[in-house]
Amino acid sequence: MKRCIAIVLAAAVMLFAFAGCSAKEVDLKAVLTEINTKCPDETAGLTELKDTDELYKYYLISPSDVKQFAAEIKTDTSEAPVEIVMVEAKDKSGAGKIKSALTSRFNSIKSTYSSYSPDKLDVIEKCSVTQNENYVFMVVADNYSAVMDVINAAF
Amino acid sequence: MDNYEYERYRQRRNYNRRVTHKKRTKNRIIIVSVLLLLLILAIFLITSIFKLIIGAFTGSSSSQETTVVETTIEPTTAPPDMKNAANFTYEKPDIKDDGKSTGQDSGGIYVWDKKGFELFYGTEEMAQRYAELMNKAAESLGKKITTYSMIVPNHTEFGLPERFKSGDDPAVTTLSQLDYVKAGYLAMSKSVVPVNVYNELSKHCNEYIYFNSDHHWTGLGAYYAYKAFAETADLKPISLEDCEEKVVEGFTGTFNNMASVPLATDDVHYWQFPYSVPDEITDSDGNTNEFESCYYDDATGGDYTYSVFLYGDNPLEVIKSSSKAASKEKIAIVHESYGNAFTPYLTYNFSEVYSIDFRSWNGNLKEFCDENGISNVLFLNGVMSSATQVQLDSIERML
Repeated sequence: MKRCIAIVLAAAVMLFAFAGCSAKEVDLKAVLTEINTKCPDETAGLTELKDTDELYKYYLISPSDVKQFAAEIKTDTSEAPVEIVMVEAKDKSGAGKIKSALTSRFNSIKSTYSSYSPDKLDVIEKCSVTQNENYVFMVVADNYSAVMDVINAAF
Repeated sequence: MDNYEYERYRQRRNYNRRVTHKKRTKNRIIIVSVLLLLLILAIFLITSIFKLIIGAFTGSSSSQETTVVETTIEPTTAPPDMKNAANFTYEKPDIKDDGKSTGQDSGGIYVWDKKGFELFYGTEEMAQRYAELMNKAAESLGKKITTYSMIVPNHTEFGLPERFKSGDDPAVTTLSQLDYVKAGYLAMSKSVVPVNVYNELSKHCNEYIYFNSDHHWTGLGAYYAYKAFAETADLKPISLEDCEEKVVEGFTGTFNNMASVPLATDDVHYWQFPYSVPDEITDSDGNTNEFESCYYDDATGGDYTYSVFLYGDNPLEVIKSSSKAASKEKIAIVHESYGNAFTPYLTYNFSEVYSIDFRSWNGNLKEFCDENGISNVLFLNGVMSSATQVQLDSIERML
């Protein structure tokens, strides 16, 4: 009897331990600060989105789906687009919607900017929308891999 | 009979006479009243029958008065103001469809019948946001400048059959562009003249008005929108029959970089005008060069053939027209790349056409118009652009 109770308790402890591992909390504002520090060329002149209202205005992401976010975008459309958007959804369903919204924006950027100059097309083709559990990222930047390295290091 | 009995007899006799007299009087009154009522009824019946008989002969209602009635003539109503969006009508396109073929999502583009379609996610709230920007623009430009606004739906509206948009394929999650356009135009103030291009494009939906492999419309699609603009602005449009048609084959548009399934290759048709249209282009680096025509005649097939129109995207182009039909008035067209195929047609009606790509032009629009004597400004946006906040920010920076 005592042996059974011990086994059950041990299994419960292990279960909580694994759950804790997969649900790592990442402060996205801190990640954005890290990106600004490590990739200054990429992030020069970007405007940070202040609140979920702005997130909705630019990406049609419903505030009710957002747990936290950090985003900077280039609002000057005369130059190549730079948009770094990181969102943690409240749940899996919200993450799906957020990914869909960011993908629509990404596709729009791709079709608009790829039509006229080969260098812009090259930039866009290296970029993408990615997801890690309830975290969704859209990075459109000249040095996409450098920005993603900072993001991936936070997880 | 003694005196007492006689007196009593006499009193009784007088009483009876009085009673009898009263009864007779009462009866007479009743009889006369009844006779009077019957007389009135008879008169009424005879009169009604008489009127019915007369009515049957003349065809008029028996209940009508025979007295003369004065009539007033209602003033004719003016035709509806077609510059008022509340009077706009919209004709849904009758898109050719075999009714059974399927499509697929590929790289963010929906592909059907070897054509690519960009799905639309703009809401009515975003349409209102666009309209507010147009209202702000008109206010900024002032009353001496006529401000027009044109929202152009994309190929999904006029080329993808309704069954896909109504749920045939769950991958097609596009929102209604018609609802968006309606909401946008209705939210514009009286200072803005909305241009309804929907019906012209709808009428010609089965013609080659959008590219298969690219997100833009063709020169022909832009022409039909130009006709709608001409009607709105009370101008006579140029006829394509008066122009020389040219074709550049082998255009592989932007969708080829996105979709992984084959798309039909395109040809770019454009129409050379029977008058000169020299074009002074200021590029993104601020360099100004002059070209003989606003069409890039040396364009070849490939990814960038759309640059036939205006040599691609440039912040500013000034096209001077020698068209005999052109008035001395000038127009500025503020646009993104959808405006490239449209702008050349304006040279038929305006002596100078200023093409401004708001994404790359840095200046104040009001000041620019005043300096150059521009009295007309047309904001032309593809529906996708009009629902993109970053692009609206760029327009707002010009105001």
